[in-house]
Amino acid sequence: MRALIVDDSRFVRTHLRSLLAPRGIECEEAADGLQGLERLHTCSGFDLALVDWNMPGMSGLDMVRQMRAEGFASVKVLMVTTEAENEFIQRALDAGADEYLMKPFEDEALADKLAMLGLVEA
Amino acid sequence: MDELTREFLIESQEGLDRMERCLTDLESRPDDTALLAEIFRSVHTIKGTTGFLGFKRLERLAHSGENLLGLLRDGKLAAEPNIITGLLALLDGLRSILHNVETGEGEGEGDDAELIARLERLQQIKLQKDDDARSDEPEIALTATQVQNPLLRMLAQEKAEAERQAEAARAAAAKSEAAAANEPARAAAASAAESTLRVDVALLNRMMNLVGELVLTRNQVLQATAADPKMTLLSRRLDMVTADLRESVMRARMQPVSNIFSKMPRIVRDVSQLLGRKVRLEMEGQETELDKSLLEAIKDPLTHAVRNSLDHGIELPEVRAAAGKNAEGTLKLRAAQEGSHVIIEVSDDGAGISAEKVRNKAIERGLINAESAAQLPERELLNLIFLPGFSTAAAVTSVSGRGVGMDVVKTNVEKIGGKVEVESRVGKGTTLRLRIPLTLAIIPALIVRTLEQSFAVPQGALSELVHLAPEQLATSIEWIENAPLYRLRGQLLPLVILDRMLTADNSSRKLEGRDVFVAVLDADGRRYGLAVDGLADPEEIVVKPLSAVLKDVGLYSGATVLGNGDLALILDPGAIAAKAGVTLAAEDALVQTGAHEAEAAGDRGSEYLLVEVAGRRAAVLLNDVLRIEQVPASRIEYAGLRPVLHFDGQLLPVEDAGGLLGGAHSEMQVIIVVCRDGNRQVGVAVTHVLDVAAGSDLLEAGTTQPATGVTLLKDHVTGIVDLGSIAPLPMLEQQAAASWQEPGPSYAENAQ
Repeated sequence: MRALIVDDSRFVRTHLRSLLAPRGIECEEAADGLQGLERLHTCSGFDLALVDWNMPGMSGLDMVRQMRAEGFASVKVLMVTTEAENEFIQRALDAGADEYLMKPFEDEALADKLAMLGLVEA
Repeated sequence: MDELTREFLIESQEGLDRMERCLTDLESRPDDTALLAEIFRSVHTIKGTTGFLGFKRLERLAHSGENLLGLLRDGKLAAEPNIITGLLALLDGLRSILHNVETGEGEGEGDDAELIARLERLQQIKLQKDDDARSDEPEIALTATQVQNPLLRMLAQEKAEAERQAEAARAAAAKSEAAAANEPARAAAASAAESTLRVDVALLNRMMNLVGELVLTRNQVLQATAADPKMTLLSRRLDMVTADLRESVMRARMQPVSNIFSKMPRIVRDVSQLLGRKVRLEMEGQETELDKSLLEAIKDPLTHAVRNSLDHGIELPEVRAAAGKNAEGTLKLRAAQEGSHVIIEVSDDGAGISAEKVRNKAIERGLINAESAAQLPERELLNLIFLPGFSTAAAVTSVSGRGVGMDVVKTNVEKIGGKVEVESRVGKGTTLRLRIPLTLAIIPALIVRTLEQSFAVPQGALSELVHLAPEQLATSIEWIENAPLYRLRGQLLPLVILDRMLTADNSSRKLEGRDVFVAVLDADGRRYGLAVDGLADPEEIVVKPLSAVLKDVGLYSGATVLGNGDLALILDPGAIAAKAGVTLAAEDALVQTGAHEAEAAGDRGSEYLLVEVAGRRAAVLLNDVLRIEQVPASRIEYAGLRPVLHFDGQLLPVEDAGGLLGGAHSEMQVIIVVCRDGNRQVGVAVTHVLDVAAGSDLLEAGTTQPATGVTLLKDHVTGIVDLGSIAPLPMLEQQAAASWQEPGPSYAENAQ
């Protein structure tokens, strides 16, 4: 399984990778929305994109909207962000995200979300 | 500390550095939304990541900062000076917690309640204004006291939040359009990020040590194979590759000076606000690179120099205006590489330093007595500001006081083998110039011999070498009680006899009946002669740390292996002076003795280097002479018809009045006197260097004006070489000189 991590924080990317790798998930990284889209175009076979909301240049929300507009229907999108209000969750889902994960999160919370997306066994 | 925490610290510190730069820019461009977005993101990222590691203090503080920044970013609040000051306090708060985390003590005990309250108050300034304007909603018009009510505050925040979201949506749409337009630029930035790599400093240090070992081995191979023609090519190749490798590893340890320059706008802002100065900061050459450890070492001296310029240099706006100057002062930071050194200048257009005031203050503080002060030329008077104890008491302010004077700047810079110079013109301004070596690990040194052993003397401390034949000893060395003094051109220098010092043998007869070499050293503000038995070649040495036992002796700064395989201890000129009791006060007395000598000898003028150029005598002002180089004629090149010398990474125009270079064969050696002429360096081709002597002014017949261009040297009228008349290189050739610098160091090394 392949995942794309899109976050402007190297710390978060490293952390996510360290949680995903033991589950046998191969990770690619991108530091903002534009780079994320570029990775989607240049590397194929992603099953999952973990996308931060607030990034320089293109935000995560815009990236998700853009990638859904271009297709990439088989890539599940998990929005990973600090925004807590329901309204934000709604906007993420409207943009085309499949699930929403609040920062900071525990390993179990990530595991739950991956299971909800049908990517790993619950 | 685990990997993740370290990653967090690096990222957060980078973010805060970025925030600091943006904040200082924000003052001049308070409406720049890109800056505000950048600052918001720095704090937002900390808030977002800190939760993973459970740093509650950081999270709370970042959260309250984020709220304020959100309002700024969305244009609900203007970036007024008090808000910027508040954000700077936030920056400091976050930094100090990060520092605690870094030193392994967790987040520390501090209480941020006050800072958080302050950040909240700043948000409410806006709410109050906003709501005052909207008189149709009087029930939520808040005043500072009412906001203490938690319910009202919640209400206000909710309202702000709703507005913020609406704004954010609009901003996001605008941003994505802008981002699309910037696409090519972003792609380029991304590829730059992919071509760089983080490397552990410890690994770089290890690489540097290994390269040091290689340099030593190379030196030995070169000496061992010198006689074998078959090996010459191979060893020359080894020499070149080693030089290139050394250069590359050194470059890997380099960081741009912008790393410390970027801290300056904040300091200048804070300090000038505190002192009521109006100051514009200009920075130049920020891309100049310097070894990481040296960069750290000059951070404090540079900060101090900047504070000092603001405190004592640039005048109050009304004083400036009265003097007909722009009310806003200019502080200029300039960095540039010159050969194997990096020059960092701090210059201001302030009041300048009055030599007279320096003189009076030095006398008042008992640093020098009135007679010797009267004898000091102006240039040396300025150097008195570097004496310990010069800037104390009256000068202590919260800015440049702190019990730290310019002496600390000098000591710190000298500790890393650098030099400090000061130039000043009353009413025009002051320039402080730091000369920093590019690296510490490999230094040029003179090898001296004493007691059948080799010792290395760092070139940086060396000012001249004198050979004394046995018959000269009696006249040029004087003994006062048991302390030897050396008479150098009418001045008495304390003399440290190296073998006496090493063997603790105090007999005064040790020097009799043999050749003595005196190395005149300048270290930590002390000037003295070091008497040794012999001199060997200068060599590039690799500094190795000493074992604790030898370190405790206190005379050595390190050890090295020489080209011939011998071990040599590296002498520490400052420590030797201290151990031998060469004090600044002693020097004071000496200046006086020297002054008496001068009186006895009649009116002495400046000192000159006496040279012969194609059979004629000529003089060069000694103060202008930087070096005397003997180079093969093949190294002289021609720019157009003008001879130039590629020296120390620069091109020097060479004055060839005697036509010495024209007929030179390439294997012939020519002597070039390298001189300083204002800001440039020039060379003068000479046949021989004859002597150094004091010149006397000549009066033009019938006038009381000293004749210019000539001086009386050793009873002969001698023409003074006019350095200013040496034509500069045309512009184009200067640029060629810059592009020549690349292979410079290895070339210079091969030439040795």
